[in-house]
Amino acid sequence: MEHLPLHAELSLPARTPSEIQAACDPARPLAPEEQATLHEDLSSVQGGDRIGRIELRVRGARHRHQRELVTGHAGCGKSTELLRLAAELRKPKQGVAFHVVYLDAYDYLNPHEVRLPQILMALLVALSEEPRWDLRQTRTGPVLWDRVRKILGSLGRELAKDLASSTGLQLLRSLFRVDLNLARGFRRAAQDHIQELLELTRDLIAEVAGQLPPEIRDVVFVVDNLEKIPESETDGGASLHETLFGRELPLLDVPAHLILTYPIALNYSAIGLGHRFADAKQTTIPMVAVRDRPEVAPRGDALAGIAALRRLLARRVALDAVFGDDAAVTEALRLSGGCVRDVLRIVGDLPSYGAQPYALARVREVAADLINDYERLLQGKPYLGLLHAIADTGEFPAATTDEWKRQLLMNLVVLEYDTGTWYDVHPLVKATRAFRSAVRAP
Amino acid sequence: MIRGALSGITDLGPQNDERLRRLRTALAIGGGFRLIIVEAEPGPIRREVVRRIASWAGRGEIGALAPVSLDADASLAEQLAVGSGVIVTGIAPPDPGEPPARDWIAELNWSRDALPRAVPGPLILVVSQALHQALFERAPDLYSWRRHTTHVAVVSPRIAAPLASPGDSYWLAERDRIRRGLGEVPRWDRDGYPHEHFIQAQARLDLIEVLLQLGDRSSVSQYKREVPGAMDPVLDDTSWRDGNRMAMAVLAQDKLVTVQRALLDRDHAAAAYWLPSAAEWYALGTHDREDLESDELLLARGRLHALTGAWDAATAELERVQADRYAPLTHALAREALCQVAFARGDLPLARRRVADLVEVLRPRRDTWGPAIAIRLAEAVVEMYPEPIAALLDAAPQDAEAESCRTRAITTRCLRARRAWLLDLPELARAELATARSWIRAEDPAEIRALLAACEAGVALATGGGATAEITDSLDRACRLYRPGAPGHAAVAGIALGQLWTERARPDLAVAAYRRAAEDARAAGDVALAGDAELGELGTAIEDGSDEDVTHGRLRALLDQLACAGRIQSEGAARAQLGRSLLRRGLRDAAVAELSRARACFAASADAEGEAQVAKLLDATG
Repeated sequence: MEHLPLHAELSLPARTPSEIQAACDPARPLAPEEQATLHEDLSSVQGGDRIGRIELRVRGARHRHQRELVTGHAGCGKSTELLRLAAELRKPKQGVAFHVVYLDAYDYLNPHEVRLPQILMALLVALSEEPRWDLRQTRTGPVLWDRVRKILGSLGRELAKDLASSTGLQLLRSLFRVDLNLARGFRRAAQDHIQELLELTRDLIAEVAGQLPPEIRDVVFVVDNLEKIPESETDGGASLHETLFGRELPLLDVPAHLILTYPIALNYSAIGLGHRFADAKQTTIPMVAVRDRPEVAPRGDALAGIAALRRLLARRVALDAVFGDDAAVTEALRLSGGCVRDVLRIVGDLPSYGAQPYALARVREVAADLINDYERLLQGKPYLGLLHAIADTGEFPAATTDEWKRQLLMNLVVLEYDTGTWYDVHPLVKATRAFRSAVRAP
Repeated sequence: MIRGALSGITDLGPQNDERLRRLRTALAIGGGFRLIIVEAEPGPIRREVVRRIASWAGRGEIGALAPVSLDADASLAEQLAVGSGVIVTGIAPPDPGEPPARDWIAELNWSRDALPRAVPGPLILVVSQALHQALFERAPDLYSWRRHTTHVAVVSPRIAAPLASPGDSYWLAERDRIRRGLGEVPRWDRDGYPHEHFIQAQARLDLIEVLLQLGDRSSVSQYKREVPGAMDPVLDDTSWRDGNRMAMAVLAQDKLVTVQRALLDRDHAAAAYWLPSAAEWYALGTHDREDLESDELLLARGRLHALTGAWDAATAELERVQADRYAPLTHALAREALCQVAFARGDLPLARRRVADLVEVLRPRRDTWGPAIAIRLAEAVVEMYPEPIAALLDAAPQDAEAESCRTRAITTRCLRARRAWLLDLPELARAELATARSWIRAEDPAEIRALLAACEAGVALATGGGATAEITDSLDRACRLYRPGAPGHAAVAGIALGQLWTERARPDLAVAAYRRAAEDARAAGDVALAGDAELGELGTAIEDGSDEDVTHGRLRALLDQLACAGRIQSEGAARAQLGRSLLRRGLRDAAVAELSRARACFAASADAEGEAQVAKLLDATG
């Protein structure tokens, strides 16, 4: 079921309980048509306009193709920002636009079998779905497709006839998503032909790019949600994430700009993603600072961050009508730790706890249940002793292992601000007994 | 016990009722896709939670909510796309001991963006605390989408009561060994040397310790009476009294036995009264605070706090009990009590860690008392939390090849069967029970035979097999066999028997079973259980029309107790029953009053089904 834009569904800003719940849906990234009404530019309080810089780098790249690797915490707004980036790149600016192929990994891949051959096929299928081109009319398309069909044929499956039809590529897309055995078999069978497949894909993209009208300079692939591929072991016992992102995807040397998302955990692994991809830029989308940086003494609220989040929230909810006082709004924003999704969750759950206007106590009541969740989820965690030091200094103590760092950031126990500049413990975690009673690490 | 096989768990407690009401409000306010996480442990608690949530479907502002138990052979999208909101269970394998057929967490996380398209209403994931943790750790993207989380953890003080191992082979052998030894120690006379009296008294205290482990109250009392007599000459001899701290320690132990006996009877007032006296004697007899005697005091204090529901105080005392190679049992009992406290307060992550800790402590004692502790803790917990007891049962004997392990292996298999039926695994339950049955002998201790009989009835009820006569025979046998040594268990089996007779339209037999169960519960010191039995008796009498005014008076008194205890669901059911009876007699006003209160109870416990049934009765009153 596709959604209508939020502003068409509701009268915004929301005032009634059901409108508030709908307007504060943490599961809903902003669609391009919702950007004008609901998007709030948070770049000034997120360490600068990182997505804008990606656009500038792509636009500024002449005679080379940009590699951009994007990550961030769950709920930081990756998908929203990438959809916005795609829309911006499609717009002609100073006479230059781009042909953006936006690829949601979920629509093309099976989570349990994502490797380079499947990603190559996903690019091919996504390209074939662009109305601008008919790949069958290209020089390279039929050759590549023939090669793929032969590999699939070697699996002994009765697919040849179906794949030969005009909807063969669509069928392949569905099969790769739902038929794990086929996807796995294809990867194994394609291993001996990977160089050939890569070259043919390169040629095909170069060929279609050559057909672009003069005002469209290049093809840009935005591959979103790759960061959600579950970590597992490869057949050889290596980390799938490190194998795919560190060894296989850098081989994807296609004549197009590539913007890929990746798991934030790889920021803290030893593989050095930036070096694996030639000249790749890594971008981590941070949270909005709601507390002063560690250097500020005494540390209080980061007023600019709180004001930005208030503007964001005010686009969705009629703050004056819904909240009893300003302190209640500020508390909700403060407790979110600057995670937009947590702002929406806290405010969206207020109607379940009582009637309007929502006072400070009601906000704290909602937060208390979220704190209880953290309380139970954090029990016995080996990193609890480090949290006080992180909250005090904004840095990970030397004793923090990469694995703990990964867990702390992935699970939003510790939040990152200004991309690695400093860290803080989530305010909801700070309110737990687990945090308060944690023995400080030496 | 097998009570869950018939009635399940109905009362979740006022806090959980409030959480469910809040969830109901959240579902009623919003529309469209929403990810809701409901944390409820597999077994009876989850069944009740899912029942209540399902009862909201199609009522008020809440749309349809289809129950979906995930099937490993079908695609996730197909299973969830049923055109309405869904209540999803089965995310973990049915038997948590089995490896999962599908990694549902990874699939849900991956297909997150497609979920709003597939589910046009609430997506309610019903998970255990362990699975909730896994969602948090392994699916941070999906987890960050949650709109509302509800955590249902039932506080159950009964789990925190001191445990015993009636019929355990090791403790029975120890009892017999020490008893034989008593005969060899010369009986004291008042002119004997003090150290002989000391040995006499110590031997009795050793025996009492074993009897406490067996839960043999009457024998404890018998030997307890002999200890002070043995020590009198010691105390009369000034050179001993002043110089021998060991003698003081023996007397302290004697006082402590009084406390332990009171704790076993759940008589916290008596335990609290005698504990300072024991502490005074310890102070006289102890060289320093690190002595093992102080650990026994800590254990007693911890258990007393646990019995009164002072969980934090109990934990603080029990955690101070040190691992001591001279008193390993005290240390193990403290670890056991810490497990009980964690389960009793519904803190499952902590309980799992405590169990792992206990299993390690018991491992070196697997040839002596270790398995007895693992088994009795599993038995105390299984009805409420069948899933996490697997680790305890794994620490107990599994097969009966060695005769020394046979009765324990039977107990283990019976508990595995009980766990299986509570987790809706009837085939496994039948298989475990068949194994246990093949090992039992007529001369085995009554408690072991009682457990097997109770489990036979439970499996038959849960799987729908067996004739009524067979099931009632099993329950009746369980009651009789349990009664002398484990009256609390007899009461639970008796309540199940009463429920069964009520269901089979034999109110006369049901009333008799309930009455006997109430007596057994009182003998075990379990006032709440006695109240349950009495409630069953009165309810049956009212249903049958054999009630009198005095019945109504007793029932109203019990209803007040239920209200005070926050057992709203049980109160609602009993009031509805009373209302129906009053209606039948034409006492319209009284009936309306009771039914209205019943409806309020069901509304407060977010049980829309109960509310609707009572509303129908109220409508009929005009």
